[in-house]
Amino acid sequence: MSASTAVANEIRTLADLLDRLGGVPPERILMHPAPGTATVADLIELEERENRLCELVDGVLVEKTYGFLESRLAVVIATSLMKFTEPNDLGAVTVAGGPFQLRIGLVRIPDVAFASWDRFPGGEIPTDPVPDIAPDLAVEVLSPGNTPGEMSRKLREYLAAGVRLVWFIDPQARTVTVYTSPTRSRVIPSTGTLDGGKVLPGFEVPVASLFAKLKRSPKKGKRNGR
Amino acid sequence: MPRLPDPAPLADGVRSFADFLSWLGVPADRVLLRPPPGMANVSDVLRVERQENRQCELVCGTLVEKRLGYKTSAIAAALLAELEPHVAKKRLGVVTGPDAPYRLGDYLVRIPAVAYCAAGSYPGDVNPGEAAPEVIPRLVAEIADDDTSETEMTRKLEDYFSAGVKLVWVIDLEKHSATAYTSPKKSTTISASGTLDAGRAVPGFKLPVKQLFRQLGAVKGRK
Repeated sequence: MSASTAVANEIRTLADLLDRLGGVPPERILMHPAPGTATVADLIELEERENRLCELVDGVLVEKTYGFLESRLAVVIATSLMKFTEPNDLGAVTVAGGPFQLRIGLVRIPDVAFASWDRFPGGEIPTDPVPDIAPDLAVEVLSPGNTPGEMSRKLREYLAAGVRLVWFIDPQARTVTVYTSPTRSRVIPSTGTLDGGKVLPGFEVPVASLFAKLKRSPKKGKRNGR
Repeated sequence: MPRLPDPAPLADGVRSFADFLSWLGVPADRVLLRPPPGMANVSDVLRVERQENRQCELVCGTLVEKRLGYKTSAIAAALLAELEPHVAKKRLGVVTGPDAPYRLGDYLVRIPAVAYCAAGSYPGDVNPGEAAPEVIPRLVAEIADDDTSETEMTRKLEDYFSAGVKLVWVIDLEKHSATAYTSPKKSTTISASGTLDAGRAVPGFKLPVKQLFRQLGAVKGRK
């Protein structure tokens, strides 16, 4: 495959590309390397040189949105996952900065991901900065910059690559949408409990407890003051 | 995988596609993605014209589609009808219409509405009808309609003058006026009652501005 043919045939103009990417604004599409020619090596170089997190979609570098609140939620989720996975040595939890090559020309960076040891060749974390594997669980914290089209494309890509469980955390609505297939979804309200399904049987966390970490706890907070 | 050739250098401050679009001054649906932006060259301009019958300019190594327009074509025809006989009679050179690509630089091909190239501009015995000749016109006319952004016209002016064009006429379809540029920053606007004077660019050529718009009275509907 030549790099210049990575852009699908029906995409003729930049407007078509933006549409295909799910309405991603052109501000998030990088001009260098030329869209359609970018590779995993470019992605790594960009991260090293400019400290920018980009995903690679059909040879196009698309900058990831980021935000403080989203970052905090990602840490909260990663921490609660690790409390469950580490004692049982189930696998590896990663946060944004941990890219997965889902197929050639497609690299996604979930905000949080869990991959069981079985997914890693030899049961060992690879030294390859962009491993050629898909996680079992991918978590995305929605930010105002994400478009519905972009997220639905991402969801399809995750599931097609072998991700078994996808969580979309919505900080505005304070809900979590759980996907196990592109057509099967379940919205868990802030009063509900998020569970690990077949991927992490036994894992449970109240949705409210995740969002509660966005502010100081009324009881414990006072003790932290100096 | 073979190494790809280097793309055209981007203008200062262009990082995202949004930056590039605002630098070009054109909407996203006029920017072609194949070849990838920055990687196109003169032969792609010709290939796209032959294979897809689309007129594209090459700007910063990127194919940018030209919009067709009925009224703009009528204005170009009116100018051609005056300019060509003048140039032919005095044997001053060659006049081209709205489908002649000019290669102005490595990553730059423009297709002006009307252009005049002085006799002797063609290196050796080159057929003037050849696509994308490396000939720099002395006079260029562009027609601006309400879809033409100021930025796009600024880019064109910069491109023409840095390539060595002496005079650029920008004919305003809406205002029925014409602006004569002798540099991207130096211009005189001539109203419908005035006369364009090509000065030294095309010796002896003068044209009342209203002559350019005379066909439009008969055109009903949109451009």
